[in-house]
Amino acid sequence: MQKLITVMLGLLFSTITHGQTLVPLPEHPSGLPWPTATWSNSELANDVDKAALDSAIANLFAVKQDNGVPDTRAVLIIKSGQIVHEQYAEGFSKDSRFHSWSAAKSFTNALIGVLANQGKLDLDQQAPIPAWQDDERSQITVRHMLNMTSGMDNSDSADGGFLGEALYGRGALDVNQIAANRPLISEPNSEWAYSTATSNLLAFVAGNIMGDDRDSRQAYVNQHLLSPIGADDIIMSYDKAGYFLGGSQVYATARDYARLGYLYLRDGVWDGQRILPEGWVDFSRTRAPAANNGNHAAHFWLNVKGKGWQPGMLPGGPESAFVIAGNGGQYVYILPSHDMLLVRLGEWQVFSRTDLVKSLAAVVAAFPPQKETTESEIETENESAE
Amino acid sequence: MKPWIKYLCIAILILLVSSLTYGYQKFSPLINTGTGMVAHQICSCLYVSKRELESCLDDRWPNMQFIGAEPFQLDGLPAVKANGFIATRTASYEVGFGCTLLD
Repeated sequence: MQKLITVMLGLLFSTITHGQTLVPLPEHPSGLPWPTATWSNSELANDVDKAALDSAIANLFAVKQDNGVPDTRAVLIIKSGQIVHEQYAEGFSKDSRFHSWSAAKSFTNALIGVLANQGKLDLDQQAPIPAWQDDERSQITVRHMLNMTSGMDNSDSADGGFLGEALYGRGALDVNQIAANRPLISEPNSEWAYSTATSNLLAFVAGNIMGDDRDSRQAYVNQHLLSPIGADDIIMSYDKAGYFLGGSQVYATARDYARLGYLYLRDGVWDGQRILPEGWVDFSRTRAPAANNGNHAAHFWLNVKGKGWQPGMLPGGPESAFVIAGNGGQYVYILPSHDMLLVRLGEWQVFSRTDLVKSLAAVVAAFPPQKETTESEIETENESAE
Repeated sequence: MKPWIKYLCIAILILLVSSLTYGYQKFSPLINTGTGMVAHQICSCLYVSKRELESCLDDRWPNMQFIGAEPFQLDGLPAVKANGFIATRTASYEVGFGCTLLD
């Protein structure tokens, strides 16, 4: 009966978007300082299964490469705004910056969100990319790009070596040239295709609005995103043309990755300041509307069933989780149902992706949900959306 | 030298040159890309993540272990040159902006 009431309450307070129910985002605990200058620490609550948690974390650090270095280099758990567990492999610390790989894509989502919040960019406006203005590619919007449904022939699997060529090969000095000059191969908003080039192009779009050169663009990001959330130590890499490599090149500490996740957990508001527009986080965690997409949202991943090669994120974990994810197992799990973040950084040279996410699911399973949420109802919604 | 030996040598030479040309054209872009990736990765690992060179080299992807990398100074900036035998690529580091591929 109690569960039924909770589910009904959940229904009442949940938002239904594109056939997917969104669990409400929890608020920052009253009286607790925001983690702008530093994260505060807390003991684990009594309802956490400590033995299960210790075992799950030991498993994460037990998988080692031939040189004895664990694949997992950092694990950070934030519960209700405070650090409840933080652990690093030998040689790494809270000050170590870790390579994001594709986790940078969610960071790029934040850059676009910052501009949208200031009225400088609209999700449904034509993508301001000069090469696209005079042909069918002019139909592509910023929303399509964030959803990875632009229809451009610039996915990571295009032409075999296309992505490498654009990032590190002959396109490396100006990564957006090759990517922008590809043809349209499907109607925008009809097909989903994972595209690092699209994320780079979004960073190009953002960069052109933010400033005329690399230095002014970085200053803008510092002023409007990094400094307000206390993540000034984040390093963004640029190409020689002066554009941020928004698909794969952010370097940040575990605590700064957590700050980015925390901004989304708190609905884009930080210490009373709205940094991302109202509704932005809901958009970012809503499944992109393409028939061949199962679990990609707007430069975030969802913990629901993927389609095709789309990977599982947290097997058995809450379906309301949304995830910042990158190659090598860079993960920031944002768990509204638990008011929690789980950050895992490192490699997967020995770990398989499947085993890694199972081990991470075991970490989350040690924590009870904040309250009975609408998981069963979410499942129904997602199934009906398939 | 008997004429048939001469013709055989010429045929072998043509085959060898053709194979090398084909191999170079096929693999050169790939090695150039891999070398660029290693230059950027090692540069970032050393100067952004502030790790030791040996530790950074250990994290090269298995198929890129043959690509060497060494730090040096370029016009006063910390830089890394990666060498993939038929390709050499350079990345340099600037405080606040990470590493950038230069060539």
